[in-house]
Amino acid sequence: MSKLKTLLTAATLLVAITNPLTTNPANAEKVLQGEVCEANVHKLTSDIEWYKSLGKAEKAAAEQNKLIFWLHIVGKIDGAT
Amino acid sequence: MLKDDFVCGYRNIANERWAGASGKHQVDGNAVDTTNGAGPHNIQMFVLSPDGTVLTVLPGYWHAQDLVPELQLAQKLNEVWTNPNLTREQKNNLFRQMQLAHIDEHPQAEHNRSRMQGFDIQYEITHRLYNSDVFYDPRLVDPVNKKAPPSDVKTTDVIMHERMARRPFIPYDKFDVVAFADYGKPFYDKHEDQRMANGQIAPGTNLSKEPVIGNDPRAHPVERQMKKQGSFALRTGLTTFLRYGLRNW
Repeated sequence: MSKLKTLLTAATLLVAITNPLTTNPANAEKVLQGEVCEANVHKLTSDIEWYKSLGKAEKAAAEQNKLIFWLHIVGKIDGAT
Repeated sequence: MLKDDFVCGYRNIANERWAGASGKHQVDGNAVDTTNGAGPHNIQMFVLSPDGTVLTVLPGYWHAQDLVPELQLAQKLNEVWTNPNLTREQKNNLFRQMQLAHIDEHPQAEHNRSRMQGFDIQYEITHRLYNSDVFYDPRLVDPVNKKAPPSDVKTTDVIMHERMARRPFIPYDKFDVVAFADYGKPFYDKHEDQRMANGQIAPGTNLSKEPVIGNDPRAHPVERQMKKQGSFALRTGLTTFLRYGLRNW
């Protein structure tokens, strides 16, 4: 899956956790370097427990009275995309 | 918000026949920004109630500042879904109203971040102009030059909410994600790993050699080779049979 998806899973979702991300459409081709991406992915996958079983996620959500954020991606959230 | 208010999970759709494809990028590869809704075949973000009911789905990439209000909408939709004082019909009607009303809550800046990619517009014009919900009026589109007036092309945030409004409280295993996430090109990539720090593609780069992941023959070279060999064996066997088998019949 395109690395822009990693930008989604790493930077964008991470920002949903912590700080607001401001982006400028004029910078659409601005490159985020690999080291930053790797750090963001690491933070995203270590700060959040990512279930691979929807059944288990549903059970946890019911127990915790939370909704489920269920992501379809071409690739692995902590690997190649 | 995700960490505190949601249970998170994911599913790798790389081997699904309906999924998209892109260049294959490692964790330490580069990344570039893009528009909301780009790459809808490659990524879909579901928000589900604990019983597996789909509250909303975002197709493709989504900017964080636009993702958060959608998560909040899902929370409100869940309140409707779990309200014991509403009939199913009332719930469905509220679902539709709330999904469509959310469009008007989007700031213009979000609409600007949600402009469809040019190649996706061209794809829609080429392949399904009069069956597409991407255009306000397909008659305004020039099918010969494949050009549409910008005001005639819906932004992806509008497409998303309109499509969701037609799918009130569907169970996840019944949700037609294939149709929901289908607009634009199946293959999406921005060649991030081939871009220099200034954003330009490095000179001399052969983009056709880029590794691919997802639903694309280039992503499955072994499988493709086996199919070629199988096809060759079948043709050879048939030819031999026709030459010698029938002669001895």
